[in-house]
Amino acid sequence: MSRIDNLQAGRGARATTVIVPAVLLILGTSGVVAKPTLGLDAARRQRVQAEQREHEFGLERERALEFERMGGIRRIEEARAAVVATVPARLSALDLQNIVVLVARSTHIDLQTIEIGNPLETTFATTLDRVVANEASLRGGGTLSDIVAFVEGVQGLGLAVSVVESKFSRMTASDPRFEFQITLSFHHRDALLPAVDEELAGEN
Amino acid sequence: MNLKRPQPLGSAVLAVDRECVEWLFVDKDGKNNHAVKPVAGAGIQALADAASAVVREAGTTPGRCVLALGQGLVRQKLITLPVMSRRETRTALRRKAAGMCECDVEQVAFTATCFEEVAPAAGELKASRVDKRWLVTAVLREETRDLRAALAKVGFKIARTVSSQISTLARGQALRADKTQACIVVSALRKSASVGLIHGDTLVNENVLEGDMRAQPTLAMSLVQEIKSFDAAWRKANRGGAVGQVVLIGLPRDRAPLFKAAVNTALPNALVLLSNADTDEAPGLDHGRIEALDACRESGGLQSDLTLPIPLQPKFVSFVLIAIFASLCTVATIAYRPARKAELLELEAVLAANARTFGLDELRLENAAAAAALVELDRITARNADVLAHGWKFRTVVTDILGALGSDAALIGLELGPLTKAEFEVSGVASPDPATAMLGVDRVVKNIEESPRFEAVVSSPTGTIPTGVQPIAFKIQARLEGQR
Repeated sequence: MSRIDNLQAGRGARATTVIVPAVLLILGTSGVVAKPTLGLDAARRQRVQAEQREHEFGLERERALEFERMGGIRRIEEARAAVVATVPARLSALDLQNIVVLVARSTHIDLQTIEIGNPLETTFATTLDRVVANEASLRGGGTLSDIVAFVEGVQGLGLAVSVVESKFSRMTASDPRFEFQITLSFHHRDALLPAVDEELAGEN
Repeated sequence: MNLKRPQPLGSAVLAVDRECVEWLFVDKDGKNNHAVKPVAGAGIQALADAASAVVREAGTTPGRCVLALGQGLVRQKLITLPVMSRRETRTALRRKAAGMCECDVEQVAFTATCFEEVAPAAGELKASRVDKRWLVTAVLREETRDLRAALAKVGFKIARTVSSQISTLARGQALRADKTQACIVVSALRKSASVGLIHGDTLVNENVLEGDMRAQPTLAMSLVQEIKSFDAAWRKANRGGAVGQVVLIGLPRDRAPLFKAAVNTALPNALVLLSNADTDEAPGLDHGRIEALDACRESGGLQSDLTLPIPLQPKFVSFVLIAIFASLCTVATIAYRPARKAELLELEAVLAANARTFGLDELRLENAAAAAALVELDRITARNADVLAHGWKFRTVVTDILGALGSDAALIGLELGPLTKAEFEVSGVASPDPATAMLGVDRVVKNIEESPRFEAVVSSPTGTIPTGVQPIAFKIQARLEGQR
């Protein structure tokens, strides 16, 4: 003898009337409780970050002290300025000619011709500026010691001068005067060239 | 033959129909007692009020009881359905129950008891379907639930909800002497009389005759006629097997013997049994009615339980929610304070650490600027060193060449070639004597070779014929070390 009934129908809906508010209540209260708990977690994370920051601060202080021992940023800037100055700023052809003539006179060199070319690009590294070079072709005469003194005299003026090519000779071994031909390269700093796209934009 | 079935008398019976409420309780002497109260008004509350009143008038208090639903509050019917899946059967039964109560299927609550399969009727085709017989008891869900809630409100604790009519059949089923024989149960209800035919555990047929046996003596003849009809039908269906027993329940005590005699006359071969409950012998008590109500305590067999769950009371829901809220608040309070305190400590530590690291960003920027400046300084230094190192080391080369010539030769010319090749050519003159000149030039070459600055020395005569008077000219070609 089996039985079928529907007496318990709708029990789920009735249970919902308690379960739903209870769940909402639990969630609501959990929200209240969760806030300080989550706040504590956040505070702990902040503390960890603060400790990391403190550690980093110590390292940065050490670096700063090291820089201070080196003289600080100001000293670095000064050193940089000094190093930069080892290669002079741009010189005009007239300046170069005057320098050459001046040194030649002081070293008793008989200069016959001076040719100073236009600035040429070099292969030296580009930093905040670039290095260009004016080549000066000199022809004249003088004793060997005078010629050496002349080259050193030009270099001793604080100019970045290099002997690119030279040729000197005399007719006899007894003749103290050498005829010479020297190509000097006067290096100096120049401003950076504009970037290609800037240049193109300027043309348009 | 009078039958007395031992019953657990602990539970009272509250019988309710649309017109009156009856209260069957056990008095101090352990006897069943009975009180009746007509219902004043309509609606569930009127029933609950009447129930409350009848209990008070009986000198008892509402308590645990069996709720017996009477006419108008419960419907029952025997239904035959084809064999279907349980789900389909449930749907069909629910629809039938709704039809019985004349309401929507959502509004009906039912319980159905299935009896064994019914054999195809004689004359039907062999291939005809096999059906099942269901005793369906149906109530209006909301009405019954509200009634139970209203009774609970006035103090009744309903242990079970049963149908008065089905209960008498169940009692009859329990009282019969021989289960193997078909049995007719005759129950005199308050305003009707029921005749049911039971065989084994199966309710084969049932019929209800309207009328009160107490007020309508002629109803007895109708009942006897009905009993004879049932017997005839049973004989026909069972090829001569007669009804062996008749159980009479709820008959007025003064008429029961006469009716029993009439049934005996109608079915001479049947054993007629009269139910008899333990009752107070006080005059005026309706003993038959007590017997009928006592049947509501029956729990086995055909009895069906219509107890519906009481809807959740707002008071209960509120209590549960408040309890949850209170416990959560307690937990929250316990958890909140230490958490806040710990958070405060952490935040203080963070503040202190932040104070100690004040200016970190600026310091970082300054250090980064200094580091960048150092890198830039290194680059410029390297670049300018390259610039300054560019070109022939004029004095060094000249001095080295003159040192190499020494006293063996005199310098006539010196050519320092392009820097890309780093080659140079020395022109000189040596002694007029060829042998001396050769030795002198060899020494010069050797001196140049030994110099760490030069390599790949090649000497060559200029092509002039030695005269022994003119110094001999020569040329030496070399290049700077490591400039290949």
